[in-house]
Amino acid sequence: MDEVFRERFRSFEAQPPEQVWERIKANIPNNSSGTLFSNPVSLATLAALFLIALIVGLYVIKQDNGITYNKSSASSFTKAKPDTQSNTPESVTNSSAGLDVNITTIIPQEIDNTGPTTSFGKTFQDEPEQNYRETINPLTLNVIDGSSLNIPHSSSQPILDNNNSFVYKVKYTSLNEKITYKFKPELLLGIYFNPEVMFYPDDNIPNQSAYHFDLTATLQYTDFFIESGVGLNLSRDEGGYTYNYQEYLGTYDDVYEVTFDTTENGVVPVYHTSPVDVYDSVKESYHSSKNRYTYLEIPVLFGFRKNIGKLSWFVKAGPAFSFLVHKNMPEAAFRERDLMLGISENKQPERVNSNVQLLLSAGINYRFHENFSLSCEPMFRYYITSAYKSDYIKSKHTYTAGLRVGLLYNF
Amino acid sequence: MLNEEQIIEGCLQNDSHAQETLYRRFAPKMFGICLRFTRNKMEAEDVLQDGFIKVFTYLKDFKNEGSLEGWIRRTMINTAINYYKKMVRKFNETDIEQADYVLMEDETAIDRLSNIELLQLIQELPDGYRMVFNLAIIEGYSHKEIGDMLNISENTSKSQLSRARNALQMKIKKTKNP
Repeated sequence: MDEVFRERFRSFEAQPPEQVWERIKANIPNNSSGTLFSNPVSLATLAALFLIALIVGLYVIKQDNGITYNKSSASSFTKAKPDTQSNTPESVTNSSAGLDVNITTIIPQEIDNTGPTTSFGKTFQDEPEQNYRETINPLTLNVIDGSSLNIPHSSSQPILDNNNSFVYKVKYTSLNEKITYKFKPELLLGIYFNPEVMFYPDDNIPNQSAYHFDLTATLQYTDFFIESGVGLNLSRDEGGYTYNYQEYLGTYDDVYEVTFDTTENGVVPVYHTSPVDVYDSVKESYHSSKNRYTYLEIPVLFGFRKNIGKLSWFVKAGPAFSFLVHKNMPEAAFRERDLMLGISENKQPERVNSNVQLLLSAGINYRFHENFSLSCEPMFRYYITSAYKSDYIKSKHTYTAGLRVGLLYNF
Repeated sequence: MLNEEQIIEGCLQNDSHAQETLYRRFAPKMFGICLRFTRNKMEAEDVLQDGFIKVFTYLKDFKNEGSLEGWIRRTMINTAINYYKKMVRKFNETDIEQADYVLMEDETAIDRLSNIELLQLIQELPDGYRMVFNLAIIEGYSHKEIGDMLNISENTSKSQLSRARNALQMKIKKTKNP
């Protein structure tokens, strides 16, 4: 009976329904690296290009752009009382509306009652017939379309104020175009290091650690600033899984067919064999894992900073976007020919390919050199989208706390 | 027509054409195994599905040193075993001494039955009997190996096989004389 069953069923075949393949196809795991960028060189190039573009963009903004005043805007320029004995141009600085406006003043030979005429984008020599001329440096005040304009003042009488300075009330009533004032945004480049500890509100597991390295560019206008850049997040998770496997023992030759050849010596049996692997019984083992992940991070932070001498304090907040660029999940070690059958219990926290976080921080900067500052800021990071994809971690919104320290270069 | 090496390489690259080719090539034989190890077609489909997902998941561990079919076959058998382990079915443990292997039916009765009828007889066996019978008689595993696979003693494996044979012979006899 055994032989009958063996013969009938050793090679027994049956056609499975078509929908089985459809279900399998839908559940085949993706064996690729699962990272956004598989090529580290491409990634590094992309990150470098992004940083260069950011710096160049901010530099261009600093050189050529500014804020726009509408035609009805008003301002007042203050300058020191003119020395009537000198015809030397005098530079004064106006900080109205938070702007630095350089004004070059030619001392008038005499002041008539019509008040000064302001010539934008032209020098005094262009119109020598004017008795009084106040020329605003074309590099610092210009018309958006690049042309120069003569703009009469509606109220242009200089007033001597309490500080012994002339104050010129300027109101641009006849200006039909927009006038652009140059401002001097402060540009800072920073390099940061930020060790963090992750917390899991819905899980009772050990806290995991992470390290962040950031290159940032900060553009500050008056007391407000925007900070962005690129960073690397190096994270590590500890966990493990139970798996089943079979140990390879060797092979034997299985005789699957016997034929008989007729030779000079008579009929000779020919045994057709094929090697069959032999494995030990199913065994269970636990693999303790330390998985490592590297994310590319792009933070976009908005903040407020106040200077107090060499110190300044600040607060900032904004989103950060993380993209997995590399992961290292060492698998259980087998001998080459052992057979891995599958994972029976998975306690391995596995991270997602991308996520979004909210960053909050407050800290201080200390300017120890004309161009250099040190920064120190406690940083709180809240994961808006889950950092993990495995069911083992139930906390959808994990958070971290860290201390971010950095060196800033002020341009 | 892809050869075996190309199929493996394609599957490792997540090439859907290679994956489907592998499935189409081996699915009929593997479904035959699944049908023997399970109680009905529906369970066999589940095991086939789980087994092929494992095949695609762990294909990177296949070292090309044995036959691909043999590797898939072992994966499928282990999937079937795990399927029943998960269902926490306790195999009835009977001492080998108590098992009576007495029936010696004539082989012609079996020969008259079709493959489908024989398959049905196997599927009707209790889980433990069916597992041991398949592993010992058709797959050729030793009782020690079967004991380790099913977490039962060697003697229990022999006992289950003996009872499986008896049960099958009784069924064959019933089929012959309804």
